[in-house]
Amino acid sequence: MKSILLSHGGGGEETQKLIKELFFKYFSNDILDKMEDSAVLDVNSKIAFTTDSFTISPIFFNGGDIGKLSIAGTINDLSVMGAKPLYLSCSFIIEEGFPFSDLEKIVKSMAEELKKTGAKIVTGDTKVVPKGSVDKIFINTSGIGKIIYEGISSHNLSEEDVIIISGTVGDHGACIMAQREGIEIQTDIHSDCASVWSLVEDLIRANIKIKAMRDPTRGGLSAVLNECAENSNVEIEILEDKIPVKSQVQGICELLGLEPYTLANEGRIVVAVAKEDAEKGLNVMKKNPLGKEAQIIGKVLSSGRKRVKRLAKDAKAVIAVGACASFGGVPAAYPNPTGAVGVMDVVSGVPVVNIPACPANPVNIVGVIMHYILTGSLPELDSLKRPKFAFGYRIHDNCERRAHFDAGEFVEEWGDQGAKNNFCLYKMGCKGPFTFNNCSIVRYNDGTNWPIGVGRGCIGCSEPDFWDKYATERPLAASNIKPPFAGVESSVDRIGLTILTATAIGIGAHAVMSVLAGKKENIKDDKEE
Amino acid sequence: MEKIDFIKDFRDSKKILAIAKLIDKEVNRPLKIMEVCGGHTHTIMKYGLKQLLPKEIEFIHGPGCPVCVMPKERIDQAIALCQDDKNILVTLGDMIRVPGSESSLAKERAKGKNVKVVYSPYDILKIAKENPAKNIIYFAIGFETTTPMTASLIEKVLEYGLKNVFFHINHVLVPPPIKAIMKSKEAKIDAFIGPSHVSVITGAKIYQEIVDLYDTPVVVAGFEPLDIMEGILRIIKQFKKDRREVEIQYTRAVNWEGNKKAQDLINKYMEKRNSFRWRGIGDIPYSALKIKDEFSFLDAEYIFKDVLPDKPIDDHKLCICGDILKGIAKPYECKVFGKACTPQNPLGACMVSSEGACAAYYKYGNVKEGVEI
Repeated sequence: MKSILLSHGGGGEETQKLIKELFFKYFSNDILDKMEDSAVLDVNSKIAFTTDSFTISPIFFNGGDIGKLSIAGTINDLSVMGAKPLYLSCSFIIEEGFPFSDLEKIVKSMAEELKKTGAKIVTGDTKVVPKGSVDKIFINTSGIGKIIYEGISSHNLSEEDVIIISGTVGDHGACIMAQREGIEIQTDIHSDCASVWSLVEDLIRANIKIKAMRDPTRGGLSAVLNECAENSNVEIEILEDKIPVKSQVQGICELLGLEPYTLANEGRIVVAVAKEDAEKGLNVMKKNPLGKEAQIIGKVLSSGRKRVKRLAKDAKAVIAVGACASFGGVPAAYPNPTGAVGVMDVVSGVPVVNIPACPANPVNIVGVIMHYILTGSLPELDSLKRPKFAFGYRIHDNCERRAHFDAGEFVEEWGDQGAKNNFCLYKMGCKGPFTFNNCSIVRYNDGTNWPIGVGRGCIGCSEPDFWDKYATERPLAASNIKPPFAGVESSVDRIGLTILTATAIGIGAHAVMSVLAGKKENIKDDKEE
Repeated sequence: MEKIDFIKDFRDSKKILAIAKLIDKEVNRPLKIMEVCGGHTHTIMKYGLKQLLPKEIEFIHGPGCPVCVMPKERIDQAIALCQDDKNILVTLGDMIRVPGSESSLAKERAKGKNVKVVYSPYDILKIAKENPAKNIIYFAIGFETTTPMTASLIEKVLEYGLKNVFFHINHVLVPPPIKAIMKSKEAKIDAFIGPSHVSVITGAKIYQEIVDLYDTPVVVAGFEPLDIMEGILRIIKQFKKDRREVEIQYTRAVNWEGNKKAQDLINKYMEKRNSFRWRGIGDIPYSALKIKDEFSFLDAEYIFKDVLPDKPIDDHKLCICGDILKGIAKPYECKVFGKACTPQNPLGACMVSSEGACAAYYKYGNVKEGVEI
C-alpha cells in the first residue's frame, strides 16, 4: 500500500509530486495554481479572519472526516460573524507511514465541502514528521471572509432577544465518543459536520436582525450561551424541553454520564435575534435543509433588574450607593438607550435608602450603616429616600464661597481674576443652590477637597437626572433680570421652582450692583489720575 | 399499552410537579432523608428537587460515591504501581483525577507513566494481549454495581489464560457504611432512599437489616427525578401509616433477590475483607471485598505488596469531605468549597466525581441554602 514518507515533506521532488498529483488535483484554482510563495488576494472590504487546528480521533467518522471538519470549522467561524467565506489556507502535519489513500480521501472530502460555499484554498503547506510525533494527521486551516452583515457580537444581547438553535445538539460529540477507541458503541448517529454559510446567508437575505451568532463547537450549546450571557451581562432563560436532542444522543449521554448540551456540534448555529424577528427567523431556518429542525429555545431576560429583585427579596433594607444605583445616573441620561433606572424603581416591599452622588461619600455610607447598627432603624429620609442627615440641605447653604455669592462676586470666565480670587462659580454653571448634599461640609477623600474647592462648579450629581438637568457650564437662568425689592438672602433659601427664579433674580441684583460698584471704582481711579 | 420513554417520561416536569403537590399535601412532620447514592445527589441538585420540596424534607447526602470514599493511601498505592515502566495501570473515569497524598493518576499520566482509562473493564483483555511484556493492573473501584464487571473480567482472564493481568480491588459495599453512620448517631436520619443500580445487582433484600436495626424506612428509587419524588412520597406515607419497610419504587429494574448470576460470580472470586478504611468515616469491618486467597496470583495487593504503601493519610486540613460524606455537613459549609477546591482543581474527593455532593452543589448552583446567586 502506498504511504506518506518523510521525503514527501522534504520540499524536493517528492513534495512537488504530492502537491501536483494530490492537492492541485482537488484544490485547483487560479490563485493556488500560480504556485507563488504567498497568495495575492484582492479583497476590497471589511474582512473577517480566523484560524483553527483540527485533531480528531477517529479521523473518519459517521457523517464526516477530519478533512470535511477542517473546512466546515473555518467556514463556520467566518459565517457566524456574518462574513462570506472566500479564501482558506490549509496546512497538513502528517505522520510518516500514513496511507496515501486515506490522505486522498481526506483531501477529496475537503474539496467537496469547499464546493458548497465556493470558498477556495489559496495557499497551503505539508509537513511529514517521524512516526509517533503526531497522531496520524493534523490539519490547520485559516480563512478570510468578506463581511456582509455587520455588528454581530456576543456582547450584543439585550432583553427579550430570542435564542434559536438550528438543529439537534450533541450529534457530533456523541458520534465521536461512540466511535472512540475503548467505547465503540454500535449506533447510527451521524456527526452534524457541515458548512453553515447557506443558512447564515438565508437569515441575512431575509433581513433578520441578528444580534449574536455562534457555532457551538467545543463546550457545546451551554458554553456558547454562557459566554453570550457573560459578555452581554444578561441572563438567558432556556427551556430544556425545547432543545432538540436525538434520542440516540441522549442515550449515549446517559451511558457515559455526559450532557448533550456540553457536547460539540460542527454544523449548528445558535442565533440571538430581536424578538420581532423570532418567528420569521425560525421559518427561514426551517426552510434550509441545515435548519429544518431549528427551534426557539429561550430568551434573554432582563439583566441586573431581575438579580436585584431576587437579592433584595429577603433584605431588611437596600442601600443604593452612588448616583447610578440611586437614580440611574449617567447611564439613564437621555436617550437612556439601556433603560437604566435606580434601585428604588426595581425593588418593592423593602425599604430603600439612596446615597446618591458620584462618587457616593464614604462618610454617608458608613453613617447609614452605623445608624442601623446602633439604633436598629433607618435614618430619616427625604422624599427621594435620601438620609436627611446628609442630604437635608443644599451645597449652597454651606459653601465656602457663599459670601462671594452674597456679595455678588462671581467668576465670569475660566481663569479670570474672579477665579483667582475664589469667587462664586454660579455664573459658570455651579448648581450648588439646587443640589442637596453635605459635601460642602465633609468634602471628599477624608476631607481633603471637593469640586468647588478646586474651582469647578457643582454639577448636581446627588440629584435625579443630573446629567440632563445640571451637568452644563451654564447657569440655569439668565442673569439680566431686574433686582427684586425683597432681600437676596431670603429668596435663595426657598425650595423648588422658587429657588430657580429667585436665585436668578438675586444674581441679577448682584450683577447690577457689581456693575455700579465697578463704575464707582472707575470713577475713583479717574480722579486719582 | 402506551410505550414508556425511559428518559423523557421520568423527567416530565408536569408529573414531577404533580408529585411535589402531593408531597406538600401529605407531609406532616420534618423528615431527614439520606439519599445514600451519589447518583441521587446529582439528580436532586440537577433538577432542583430541594427547591421543589416543602421545608420539612431535608436531604442528607450519603457516602455512595465510590470515588469520594476512596482513602488517599489507596490512591497512593495506584500511583506506586504505575511508577514501574513494566506496569500499565488501568482504571475507570473519574478515579484518575482524585488527589492522593502528593499526586494523582492524571498527573502521573502527564509525566508519562502508563495510566489508562477504560469505560469497560473488558478492554483490559485487549490491552493485555497487545502488551504481553507488561503487567496490566486493573485498579477496580465501585460499589456492588461495578463489582460483577470485575468478577466477570477475572473469569475471562482465567479462561484465556492471561498471565499478565492483576487486580487491585477496591470494591466496597453499601450496607456497612450506612450502619456505621447510624451507629455514630451524629446524623439523625429518619429514612433512606436506597441506591438504584446497586440494588439491581444485590436486590432490595440487603436493606432489610437497616429497617430492622434502626427502624427507618428504605425506599429503593430510580435515578430520574420522578423516581426520587415518588420515593419521598412513599417514605412520607410509611410514616403516616406508621410502617417501616423496605419498598421498591424502582420496579422497572429492581426486585427483592437481585441478579443472582452476578452475585454468584462475585462470590466465586471475591470475599469480604476484614476491614477497609473509608475516607471521612474511618475503618469499617467487612465493608469491602478482596480477591479470595485461592486466586491470590491475580491479586495486585499480594503480588506487588513490597511497593505498596499502607500508612493512613489524613485529609487536607481544611477539607471537610468526611463530615459531608457522613451527612453532618453541607458542601457550602466548607471553607475551601468553590474557592480553593473546584472541579477543575479538587482538594477533596467530594469535588472530583460528578456523583460527589460538592461537585453537584458546585455545578448546579444553590451555593448557599436558599440563596441563588
